[in-house]
Amino acid sequence: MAAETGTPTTLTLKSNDDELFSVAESAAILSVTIRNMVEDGCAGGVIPLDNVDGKTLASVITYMNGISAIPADEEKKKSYRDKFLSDKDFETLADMVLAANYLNMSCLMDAVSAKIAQVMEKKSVGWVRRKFGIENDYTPEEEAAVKEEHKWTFEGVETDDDN
Amino acid sequence: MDRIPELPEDILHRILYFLFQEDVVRTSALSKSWRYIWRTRPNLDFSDNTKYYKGVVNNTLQGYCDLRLCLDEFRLRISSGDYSDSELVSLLDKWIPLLTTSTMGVKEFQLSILSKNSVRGIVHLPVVLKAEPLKLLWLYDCSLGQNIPENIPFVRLQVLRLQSVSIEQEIFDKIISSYPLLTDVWLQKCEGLKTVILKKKLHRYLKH
Repeated sequence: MAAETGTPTTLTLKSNDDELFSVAESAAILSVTIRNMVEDGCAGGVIPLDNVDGKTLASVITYMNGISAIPADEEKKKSYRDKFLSDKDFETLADMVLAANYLNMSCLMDAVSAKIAQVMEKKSVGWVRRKFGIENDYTPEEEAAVKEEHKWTFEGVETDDDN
Repeated sequence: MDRIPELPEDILHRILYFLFQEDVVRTSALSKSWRYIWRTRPNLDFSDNTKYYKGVVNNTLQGYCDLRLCLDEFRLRISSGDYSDSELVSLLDKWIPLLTTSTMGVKEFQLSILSKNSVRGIVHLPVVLKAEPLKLLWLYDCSLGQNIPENIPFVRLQVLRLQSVSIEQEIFDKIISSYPLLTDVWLQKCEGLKTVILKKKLHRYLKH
């Protein structure tokens, strides 16, 4: 762990496409995965993160730095997270949720998951398919049968042309 | 565009975690690979304003039980106007023991009983108190009645939230003194309480 005084310790993280990033240990240990490595004394050299690409890692590090600069104020942290995620597309969000899971960062994991979930709130099946790019491989009969089975969930949702 | 549906199931479950049951069940119609994902998520949330049919809650819980699935969190909001008092007791009497079977082992339970005519629905404490593995109990918009329960069994409770709850002083005192692990107590708009005695080691967040 970092010494109580003196210069802050910096860690070097390596993405799976061999990009190197420097990040303050105090911010990086938001990741339980990284924190465990630091505590086990395995964080001396370069820390390879085999499941995260450079673009995603850069974004995660921006988040780590941003959120760790905010004092213990849950509302401010929440508004930072909302702002941080506001301009991310679904592809980026999918990368982020995988990275957050791998790095064991529950606050980021929950924020991204909730953001993705929001898309499905009270929305029709057709809407969600289009948003997420899901290909419908049901035959019309199969789809009708699934909907019939849970009829109560298809009442009163926001519909559009192809419900 | 197609990255979200390719995510592993445990991550999809985490995403579905944030939705009410109605939205989650609807994902079964998205495509064949989504057909059954909703069925195994480790939380159930029946706490929105949807009028859930008795059969839906019942069958869903029974499904978790039959498949021996783990259920961490259960949120339920029911309108006492839809049930008679005795019906409500018998439903909770059936569901709560299911929740706390060793396979399901619900740790967090949120229950609200809404009632018409602004009279709070009565939660029969002896029924709720059968939920032994609970770590968090959150009751809102309900009354805990007037009978002091003889036994208070769930010893693992850490967090108790009472919001807009009518509770007799004696019942509250008995509950508080029965839980050795209780660390957080949230009280908001509770009627019937005159004093709250603070003991050391208990962190309390009191909201009025």
